Amino acid sequence: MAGKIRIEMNRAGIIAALKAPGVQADLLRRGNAAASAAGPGHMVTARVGATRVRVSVITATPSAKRAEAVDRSLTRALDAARRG
Amino acid sequence: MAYIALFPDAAERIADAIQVRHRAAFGSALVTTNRTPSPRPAEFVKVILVGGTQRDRVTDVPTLAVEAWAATRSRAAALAQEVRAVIASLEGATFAGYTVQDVAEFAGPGDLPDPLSDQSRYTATYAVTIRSEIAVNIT
Repeated sequence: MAGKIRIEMNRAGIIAALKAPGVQADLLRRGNAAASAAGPGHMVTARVGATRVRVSVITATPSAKRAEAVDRSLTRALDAARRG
Repeated sequence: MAYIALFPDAAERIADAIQVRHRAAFGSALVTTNRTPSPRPAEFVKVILVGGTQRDRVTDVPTLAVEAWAATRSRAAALAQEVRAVIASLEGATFAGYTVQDVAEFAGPGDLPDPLSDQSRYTATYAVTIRSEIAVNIT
């Protein structure tokens, strides 16, 4: 009979991985890909939070806001961020 | 010779399913569509296929933007929540050879004003996992 297996999560290590420069670079690349696919006027921002890196893509100009409101340009660009 | 799975027009199928289940749950005849109707009804739901990927040979995961349109912001917000509940209920539903395996919310309902009209609009984005039992033999 197999013995019990105990798994102990290394929380500090997981957080370090989620904030690692390589993860930030990958997220930024994905954010830039989505912004590029969405068209002009989209801005990418990165922020290192308490437990992870977050990258956002936003409509930064009136024309980009209108493109999302009318054509869903940023929503349609989500797949660009999925590509490896 | 290879059997290749065929997938449905997810926006159309999900729009139809929302209409049927919304009527059953809320009792009103909701207009659902995958394009903006002309003329516009006072209230309607628009389902837009905005992307997604095929997970494996028989499973597709389309991304759907679902817009709830109404005369007022509060009604559009309420309608978006009604539709959110209906979409969540689709998990396990079958439609003529297709099964909804999973429904995931990518972005919950939010206000997205329309610059072209005075109607109010709330929008949310979902990933719907659809398994196909329909295949075509391609040689």
